[in-house]
Amino acid sequence: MYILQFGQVLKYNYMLLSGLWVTLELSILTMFFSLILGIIIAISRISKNKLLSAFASGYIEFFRNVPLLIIIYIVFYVDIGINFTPFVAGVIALTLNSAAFEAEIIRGGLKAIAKEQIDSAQSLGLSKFQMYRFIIIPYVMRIVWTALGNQAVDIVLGSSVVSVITCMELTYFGMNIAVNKARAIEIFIILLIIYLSLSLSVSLILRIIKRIFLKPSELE
Amino acid sequence: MTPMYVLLLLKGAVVSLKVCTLGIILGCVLGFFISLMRISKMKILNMLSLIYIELFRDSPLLIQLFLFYYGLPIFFNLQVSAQVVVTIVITLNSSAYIAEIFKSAIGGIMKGQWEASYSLGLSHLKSLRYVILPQAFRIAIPPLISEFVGKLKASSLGSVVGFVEITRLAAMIRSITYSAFDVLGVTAAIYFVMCYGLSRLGSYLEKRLEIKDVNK
Repeated sequence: MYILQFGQVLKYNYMLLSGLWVTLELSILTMFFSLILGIIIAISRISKNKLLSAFASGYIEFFRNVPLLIIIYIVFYVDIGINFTPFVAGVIALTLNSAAFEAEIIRGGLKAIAKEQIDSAQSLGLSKFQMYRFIIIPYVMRIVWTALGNQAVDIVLGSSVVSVITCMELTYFGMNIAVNKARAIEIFIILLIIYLSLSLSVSLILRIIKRIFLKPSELE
Repeated sequence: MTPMYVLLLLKGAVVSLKVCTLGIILGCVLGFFISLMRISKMKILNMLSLIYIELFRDSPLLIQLFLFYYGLPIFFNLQVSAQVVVTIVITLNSSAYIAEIFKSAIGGIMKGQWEASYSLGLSHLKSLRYVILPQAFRIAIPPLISEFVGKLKASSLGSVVGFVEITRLAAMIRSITYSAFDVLGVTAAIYFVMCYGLSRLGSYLEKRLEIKDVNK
């Protein structure tokens, strides 16, 4: 009968803490960059410029249908003259992957705006800036918020894959402690709990932000 | 990158497909029972299924793989191959997603259908079996296909615990030939063809299988 001994593993808490920090950095940077890239691709996708739209849809289909692990390998191993550190390669790969999913979400949100809303905004005499500021952005934000929140959780969970190119985040340290110290099960139970709390807190925080800043309106 | 290597990668792709197919089929069976727990009126079953679903959906698949890879020999004294570990994890993980797919498919059937089958004198179980589920399965097919695509991509993580499938072979060939671009490019292309093809099939079926009018 195997007896779990967490004490043995908790000695390495300094490693886990530094790994947790890197995981957070990876996730937050990816969330930031992928949102920007996702918005750009979503707007290109619905643009009237055929070439731009075709490029955007090619981008979306490619990154949605190739595994994250392969993207990570490509960014890290394929020689393009620049050598990325594992961390930078991780952020790039996660961003490229996540932006494709976010672009689809944002495109759905943009498509959901009825033409009447834009018409009535214009007939109220709102300027283009005011129209985006008060009508389009708040409305789209409310539509896409939950789906983007799920994507944010996916980013946190996906960041564990970056461990395979020796980016020193949570899973990397977990794998190392497991191999060297043989308390593998305990380590991965602890990692499971840490990741669970991370993803649950991300969705909780996003839900609180939605409740405070994105109040529902009569439009829905 | 010789044709032999391409052939090897294709064989690896077949292995990935096989494991995912088995995992998803088993995941459907398990997911079905979990979705029944999820919609049951018993609080305790409801809670348990919710915890199960959240546990698998809110933790990284890689960590789940490691847990079973190290845990099965220690706790259950099972010496299993990496392939079995990957199949088990895909089964359990997909069952959590599939349970939610079934749940929303069953929820998508209008209340009037339940009432109609009750008024025909069918019991709760018989209404579920003969009226609700046949329609729900139909609605569930497109999301099930996209779940399959998701797991096909995720199965690449099996390479990390030593399961020899397409990604593992790609990593091996890359370290032999040092031509990362060719090897990873071909691998990405193979994944793309499989996943994109399946996604297209999914959206085609979504249009074909849509139940018009009845549930509006």
